[in-house]
Amino acid sequence: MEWLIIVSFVIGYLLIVFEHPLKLDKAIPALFMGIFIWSVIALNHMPLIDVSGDHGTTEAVAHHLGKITEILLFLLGAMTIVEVVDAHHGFSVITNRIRTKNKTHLLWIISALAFVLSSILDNLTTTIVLVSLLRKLIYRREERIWYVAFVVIAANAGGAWSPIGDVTTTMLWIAGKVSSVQLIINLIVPSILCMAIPLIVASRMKIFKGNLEAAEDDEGYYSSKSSGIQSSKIMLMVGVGALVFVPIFKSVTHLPPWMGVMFGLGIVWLVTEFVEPELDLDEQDRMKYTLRHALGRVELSSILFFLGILLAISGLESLGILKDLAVKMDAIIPSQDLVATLIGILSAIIDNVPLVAAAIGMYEVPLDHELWHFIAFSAGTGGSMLVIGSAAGVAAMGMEKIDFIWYLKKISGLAALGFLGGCIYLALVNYLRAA
Amino acid sequence: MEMLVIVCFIVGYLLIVFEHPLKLDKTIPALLMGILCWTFISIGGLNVFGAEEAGHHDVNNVVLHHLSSIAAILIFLIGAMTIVELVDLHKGFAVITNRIRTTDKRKLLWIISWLAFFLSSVLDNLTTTIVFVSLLRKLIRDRNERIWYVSFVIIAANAGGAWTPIGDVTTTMLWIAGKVSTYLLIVNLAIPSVICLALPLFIASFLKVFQGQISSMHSADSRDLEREKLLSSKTMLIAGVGALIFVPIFKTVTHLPPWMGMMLGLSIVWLISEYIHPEEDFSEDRRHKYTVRHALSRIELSSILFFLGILMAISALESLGKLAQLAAYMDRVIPNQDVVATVIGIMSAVIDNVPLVAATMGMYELPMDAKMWHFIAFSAGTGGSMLIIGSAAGVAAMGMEKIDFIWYLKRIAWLAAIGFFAGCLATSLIHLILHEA
Repeated sequence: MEWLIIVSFVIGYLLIVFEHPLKLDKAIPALFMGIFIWSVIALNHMPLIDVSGDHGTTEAVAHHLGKITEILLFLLGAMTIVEVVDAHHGFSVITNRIRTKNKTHLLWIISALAFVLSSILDNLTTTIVLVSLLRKLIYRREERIWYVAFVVIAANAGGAWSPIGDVTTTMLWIAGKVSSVQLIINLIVPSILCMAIPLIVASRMKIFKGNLEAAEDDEGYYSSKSSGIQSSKIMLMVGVGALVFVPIFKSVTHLPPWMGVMFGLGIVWLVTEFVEPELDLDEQDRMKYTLRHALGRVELSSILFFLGILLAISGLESLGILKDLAVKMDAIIPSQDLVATLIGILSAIIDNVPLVAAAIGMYEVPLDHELWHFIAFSAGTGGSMLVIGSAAGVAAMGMEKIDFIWYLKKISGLAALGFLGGCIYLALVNYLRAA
Repeated sequence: MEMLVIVCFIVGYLLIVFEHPLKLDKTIPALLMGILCWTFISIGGLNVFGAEEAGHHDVNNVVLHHLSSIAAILIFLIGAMTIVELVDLHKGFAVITNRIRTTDKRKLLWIISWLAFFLSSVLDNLTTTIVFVSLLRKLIRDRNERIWYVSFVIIAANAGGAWTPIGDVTTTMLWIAGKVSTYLLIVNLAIPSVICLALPLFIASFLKVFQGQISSMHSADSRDLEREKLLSSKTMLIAGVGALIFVPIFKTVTHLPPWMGMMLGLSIVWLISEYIHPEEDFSEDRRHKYTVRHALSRIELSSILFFLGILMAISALESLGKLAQLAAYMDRVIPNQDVVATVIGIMSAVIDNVPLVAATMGMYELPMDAKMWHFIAFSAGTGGSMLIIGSAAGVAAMGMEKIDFIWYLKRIAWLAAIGFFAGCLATSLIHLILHEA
């Protein structure tokens, strides 16, 4: 029966990869495949590696559900906090400070900002915030998309080195594969390299010479969020505070990260109930700023997508298929650094969440093993090499209609330089440590 | 530290109960209290039931175990809410409600009540109430007349939810936790639930309000109703209700937990919704209105987070052994468990029935399909009808029709109480006949 499971996983996965041409929401095949795989396991009473006995399947499902929910609740909490900060125009506090007209300066400032922001927020939000900002600063689209591309690179690089910066790094952290301090110490340098190398190269390019033409002020929706309101500053501080608090909560209480996020969400929610966004608000306008409204804007379909895909992978894991795969890969590719680099390159083509989930199921190495750090880096930044390779890229593509081919021709090379630079650095460190 | 956990729970619970006067969303205290209770346990190094020794590693395993059980409920609810929301977006319920044509008051009362009863055995009580209140608004002009019907919708929705595993949050919780099985639940509770509605209905048929014809129903209105249907209404209703009914079947066949059946159903309904055409030639813009993504943005995530918080808090009390102590105490004070279950039903009219049932699940160590579980499923499901604020259905009706707390207490509470107590008696008797004779 194992073949049926593998076949359904492959078919489901193909449907997910071809989401856009098929015009089929990827949550549908993900959910269906996740449940289908477990149904086959349950109906055939297939032997599982992590449990035994009559109630084995139910027990295994309950165990995996707990693990998956930890990730889903973390994401749900973080997404809601970011949404509510955005509803209060909180990010305008940061973006309003940018005043330079020099193109090279602006490139460095925007990239550094994206790097730092995305180490706290998710990469998608960082990209959306900064692309909205760029629309106001740079009038000509042909010029702007260069900056947007660097936002994508910087957001991905910035997310990789912090436990709350990116879904895949967060997954490794929640699963107890990496610890906050070790992760930051090991990955901060390669992440900076990953952004700095392309930046240094780009600074010498013709497109980033000279000064910007004055931008027009009025750009409809996107400029509406540029003006701060009374509550912008306080909501930004409370929201970012709640997110930064999560690793602290974990180290003080030793409770799982999702509880820290939910606690933070409770506090942020409490603050939104008492904060006054504007003077004399009527009930109708007040709704816009409530947490309930922010909850309605959270992308629940991506949460359900994660549920489905993680469930499917947990099925493969429980059957021992992932372990077999790891053994085979180790036999073919002798160096684990190379395996991790390959995962990064693969993540440019396929979704990095299932990739990392599979890697977690494949390898039995201890907390803070160099392999986990390497995977956190490569799965987080490898996606920059194609515009469809990361959530940040897809968002930028949607907002600015960036062409797949344009990105491949102009940006992919730069992103690859940064990615490989970071990988070589990590491999070198591992080599020196072993020697 | 144990004191701190209990104090934290009590303070949090008071904030939840006084949500309206304090104007504080109840999810806030629920979330904070759920996390804080566990924080005190973890920092204080308290001994928790289920962990081999004090220490954070074992506490985390206990938390993971509870989270898994809670997630099974939350994901079930998200799936069910999304399916219902989607059917509603496609105006699926119009297929049913469009069929009502009578103008005789008493007849209308019976039709509406039994429709609500059976609909709520499949859908949640809240949705049933909203669907029927919207319908009643079109059928009955006069608000003073209408609120009588609305009240009966509340009673019917609560009674109808109690006897099926997918009809009501509390019954679903008992089912997911493996305390009741689908078949025995229906066998034991179908008759008490019917009585719980039929008795008040029977009495009300003699009331003056329900005599004669409805004055202000125009035939033009019913034509409006007809027009409300969409091309996709019927398909989506069948697909949605089919997906919900499929859940217990899925569980019986695969022995996998109910939330998985619900997610499978959701993915199929989702697939159908992607290919269906609600209207003749419609644009991308309007298409969005009928998508699952739109339905997902309309479900009440805050109530999901409320459940998460409150269930985490109760699991903390359970892990400390507090609930078992409470059960032992109650058994000493009240010798008869039927009385305990009835008291739970009465209490559920005042406080939320989800934490109440979660607490009793932690209190009693009884086997599957024990009499106590069926009794609690019935009483916690229907006891809330006795006050307008006692159930989700009642609160929704209160919000939609501005029904007064006192009005309901004076006119409806006694009818609901007669149904509730008769149902309790019936539950007791049926169990006697089925299992002890």
